[in-house]
Amino acid sequence: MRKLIIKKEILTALRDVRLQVSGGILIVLMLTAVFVGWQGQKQIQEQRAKAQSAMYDTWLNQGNKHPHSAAHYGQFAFKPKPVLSFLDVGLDNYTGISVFLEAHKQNEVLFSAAQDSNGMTRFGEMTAALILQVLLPLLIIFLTFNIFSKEREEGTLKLIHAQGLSMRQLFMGKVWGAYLMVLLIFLPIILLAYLQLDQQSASLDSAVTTKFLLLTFGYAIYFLAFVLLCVLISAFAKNSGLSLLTLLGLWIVSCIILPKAATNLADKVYPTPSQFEFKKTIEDKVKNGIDGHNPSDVRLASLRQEVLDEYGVETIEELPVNWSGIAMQAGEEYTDQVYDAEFTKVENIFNRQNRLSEWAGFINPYLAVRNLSMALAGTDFHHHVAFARAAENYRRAFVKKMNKDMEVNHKPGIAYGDYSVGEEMWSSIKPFQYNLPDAATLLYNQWRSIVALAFWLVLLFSISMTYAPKIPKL
Amino acid sequence: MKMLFHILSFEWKTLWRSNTLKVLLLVVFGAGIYGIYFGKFEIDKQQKRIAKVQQYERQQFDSLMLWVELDTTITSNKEKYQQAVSPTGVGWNKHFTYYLTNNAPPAAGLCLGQRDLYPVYYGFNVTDLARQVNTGELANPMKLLTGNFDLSYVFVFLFPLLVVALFYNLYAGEKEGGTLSLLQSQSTSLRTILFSKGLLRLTMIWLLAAVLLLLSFALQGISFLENGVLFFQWLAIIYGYCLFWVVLMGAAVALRLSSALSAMLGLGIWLIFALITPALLNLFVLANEPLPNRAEMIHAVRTLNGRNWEHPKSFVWDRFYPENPQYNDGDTTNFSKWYYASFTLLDKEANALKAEFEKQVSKRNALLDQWQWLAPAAMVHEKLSTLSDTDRESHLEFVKEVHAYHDGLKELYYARIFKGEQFSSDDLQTLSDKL
Amino acid sequence: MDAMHFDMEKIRGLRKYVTVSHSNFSFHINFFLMLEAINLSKKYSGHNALSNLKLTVGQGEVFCLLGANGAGKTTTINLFMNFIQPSSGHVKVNGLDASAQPQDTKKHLAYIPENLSLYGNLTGLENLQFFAGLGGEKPDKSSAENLLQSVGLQSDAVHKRVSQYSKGMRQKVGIAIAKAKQADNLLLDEPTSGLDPQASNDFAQLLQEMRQNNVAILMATHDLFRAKESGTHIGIMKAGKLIHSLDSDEITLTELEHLYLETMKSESHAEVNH
Repeated sequence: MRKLIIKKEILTALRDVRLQVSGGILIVLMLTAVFVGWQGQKQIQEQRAKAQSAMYDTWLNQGNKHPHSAAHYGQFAFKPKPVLSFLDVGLDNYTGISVFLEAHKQNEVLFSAAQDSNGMTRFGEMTAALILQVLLPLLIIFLTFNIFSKEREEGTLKLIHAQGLSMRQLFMGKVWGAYLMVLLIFLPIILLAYLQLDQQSASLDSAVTTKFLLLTFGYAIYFLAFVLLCVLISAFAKNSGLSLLTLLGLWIVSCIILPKAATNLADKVYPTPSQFEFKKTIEDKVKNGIDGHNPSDVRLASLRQEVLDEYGVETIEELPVNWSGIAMQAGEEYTDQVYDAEFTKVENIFNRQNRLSEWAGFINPYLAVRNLSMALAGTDFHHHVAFARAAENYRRAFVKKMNKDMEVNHKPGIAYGDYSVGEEMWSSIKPFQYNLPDAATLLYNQWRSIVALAFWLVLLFSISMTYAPKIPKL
Repeated sequence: MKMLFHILSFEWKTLWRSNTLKVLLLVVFGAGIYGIYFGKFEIDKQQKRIAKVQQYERQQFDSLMLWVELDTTITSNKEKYQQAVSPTGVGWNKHFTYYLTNNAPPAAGLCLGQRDLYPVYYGFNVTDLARQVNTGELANPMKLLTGNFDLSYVFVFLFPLLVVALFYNLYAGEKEGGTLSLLQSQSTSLRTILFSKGLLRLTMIWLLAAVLLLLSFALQGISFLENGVLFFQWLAIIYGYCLFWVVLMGAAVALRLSSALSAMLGLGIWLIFALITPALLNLFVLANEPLPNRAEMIHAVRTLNGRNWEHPKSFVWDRFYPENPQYNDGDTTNFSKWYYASFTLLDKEANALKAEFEKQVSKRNALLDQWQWLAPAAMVHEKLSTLSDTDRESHLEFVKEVHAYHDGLKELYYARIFKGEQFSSDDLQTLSDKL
Repeated sequence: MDAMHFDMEKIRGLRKYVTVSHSNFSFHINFFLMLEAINLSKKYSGHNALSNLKLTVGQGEVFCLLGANGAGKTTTINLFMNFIQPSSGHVKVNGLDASAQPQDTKKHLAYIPENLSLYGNLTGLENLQFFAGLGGEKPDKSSAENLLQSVGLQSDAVHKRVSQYSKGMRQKVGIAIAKAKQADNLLLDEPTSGLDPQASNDFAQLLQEMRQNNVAILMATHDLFRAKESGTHIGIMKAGKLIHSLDSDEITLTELEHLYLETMKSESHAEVNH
């Protein structure tokens, strides 16, 4: 019996001109987004990879100089464009793309694409994510808003029920019929998107297939939940008009209004400090010690005493190692400590803000799927922080190496300008290599969104099964 | 005319007595009020930061000035005094930062525009600006992504939805409600009747817009006397935009579709103009016209800086003196002069590259501007942003100001450095006034 | 046919019945032929909704069109109202061609549709004032109240919202709207369907009243009893053709019923007879 219902639903849907038109438009948009987005992404990734290797070459070819000068000369780290970001551009346009790594300073990841564009950027980029999260649900609404109410209004619902079909069976038949239509549009395109990926993609992200599958699965759950919701509302709405209005209202609130309101509220509840405060705090703590009782000159003095004692000498000149190298590295490490603490504080504030949106996924499934999609595509906040951290760790590593070389090899008594190293030293620093976080990590970060999606599916299923028999037949 | 008023008076009664209109207007009004408060909140936050920064600057300056007043007969004070009166002193270059702030323009709270993407203050000293101005404000990128729920958002996004909601049923409502045949049997043409109904709705929408705009001025403390022109410019743009949407919906209504189809059509049009075309434009431009690699600028500066230090001082003099002959007194060995001269060279290098990048970016943005008319929502929002001085151009103006301010400081400093002089009390007064 | 009752008002008003016919540039005084269908046909793709209809309804006459669903009754009414255009033939109202001069003909037509809907959020009074005002003359509060009373609407219902009215009450407002127009012709589409016997009776009395005011009334109906009671002429339609047309007092109710059923059953092509 249910197969009959499903078949009938699909046939009616396929023959409906409005659906043909809107479905067609959606498919064209998806194809455009997927192909053009992929081209653009490849271009950007090539650019950045080129820039990265070009900058590394400048590091290699900087000539002979004192290692500390090289530390000042510094390196660059360019943020690679995650392979799946063409599906969901996420935060990519609002986060910086490169960071200058030099001694004594932690620079910001700078130059976001949004800063160089005019106001149009704020309207978003046409990606598969936008279409799947915002537009396809609208198509689902058009497909299903009168799936029950029309039958009720035309009197066929009574007839079907009189034939012996239970409301539960009818309900699920309609749900599966509509859902199959959705999958018909969704799956071929997402498959096409996947086929664009190539060897290079796999080399950039070994987990790309897993993430892709998880993304597809996540969307599949989202669509099923949405179909359930729409059919439920159509089943219990007084008439088709009210059903449509209710669903459209929900869509507008969930996809257009709530996301903005959520982030705005989050910023009020967990206020962001200013750059000025952030820098000043770091400055103060470096100068006066993290606890305020260990000022830099005191730290320096006690370090000097330590080193002197370690080597059993009375003056710096007697040391077999370069005191400046030791002192500078110690300074770096202390600053790093302070910076880490403060940066983590800011990161935590942002995480807490974002978590609000994640919890909001329990009242708005759109937010749940949006957060999950960004995470799997590699364009969420955690990914940005992962890159920033990786770049910073790289910086610390090479600066430390430079300072160590100075400490050990730049013997006291030799003038600064007289000690230099060359390409051998530079090439001993491997180029910056950044690997995207693996699927397990990012799923762990997104557990709230995953649970929210599951929650919605279970909730809607149980409501459907419990209340289906109560669907009014006239 | 008389017929128009006749229809309007009864249409008003029908609309007002049904709850739909009240709910719709209330929701949009509520959103508008929220938008007004949100805009105010954000701008207040920015202004507070600006005030803090300015206060800090003043405090630092005053504490430096204390060093100037120190009794130099006491040896321990001598060094501090020196630091405070020497333009190359650590006091001026390590312990003191000049801040230039970008005060919020009066209507910024109505349309936050791009203001949240950029810092509203820059801190720097007289060394090269190039290595000090590459900084941003701390902001959650998620918040930047979802954007600002300010009044301009309500006007640009929600008002068209209000138009769709009020107009989709204009014809279909009569048909499906059963009153159509009775209307059509009267000697007033249906067109006149529908037009009058539409006019009433347009008037209500316009009225709501005016009320919200007036309230925004009141609640945000924007002076009407000083910004009267701005008010009317905003009103004109919003009125024109609403009219545009009414005309579109009028065309949709003329198709005589059912209410469900009319609603879907209206929403479809809204989607296309407010969501799809801007996103498509962004896809084609952002994804395919890549931005210049600004890291090149940093690279150029660090390379030049390295070279400056590696080469003998003449490297710098050869490039500095020809363009700045007023400072040339033949001295080629003084460290401070060489040091500060090198900063000018670094800035020159950076600015040249910056100008080139800006050209590339402008070309790219011009492409977006060219096709902007396909996305009227984006176009109108941009216009409002420009009117409120919160667009990218305004930020670039601020950066220009920073450069000009920096140049002004440099003139004073270099005048002393290159003569080997210290700051006079007049100089210090000038610096204080400049703050 | 009733004797012609002239009063001074009517004589003065007669001028509006003097028209210039464009086809033969002569004056016609048409005040006997209020509603005319002349070889009226309406074809939809492959299907004749109306074939060569000829009928006239004069002052004070009540012409009842009987027939099954799809016989062409509503199509005829819609053609008179210029809701649709004829495929061939003419519809004349007081000598004016309905499709050539739709706005002018509407001035002489009052109409009560089959499913009369009013604006639920307005009161009966407000609905009357609105629709009547569309016709050009908005009645003031007291004349509107009087009008509603004259059609039998209880005075306490006049200021209640129409959403609370019964079908009969709504119909009374509809009649009031028609009356307010003071048009010479009235078109009714299934006016008694869904009315209880009391309301149906009230309606019949109102019809009589209007008839006495020399209004020409064309009524499409299923109600054989009402047709016989209130009608002066009866027409039986089938498949777009007017099969029988006869005076109401030529036939008894039983005979009418018999004739009607026979017409519905037979497949033969019957002639139109006056």
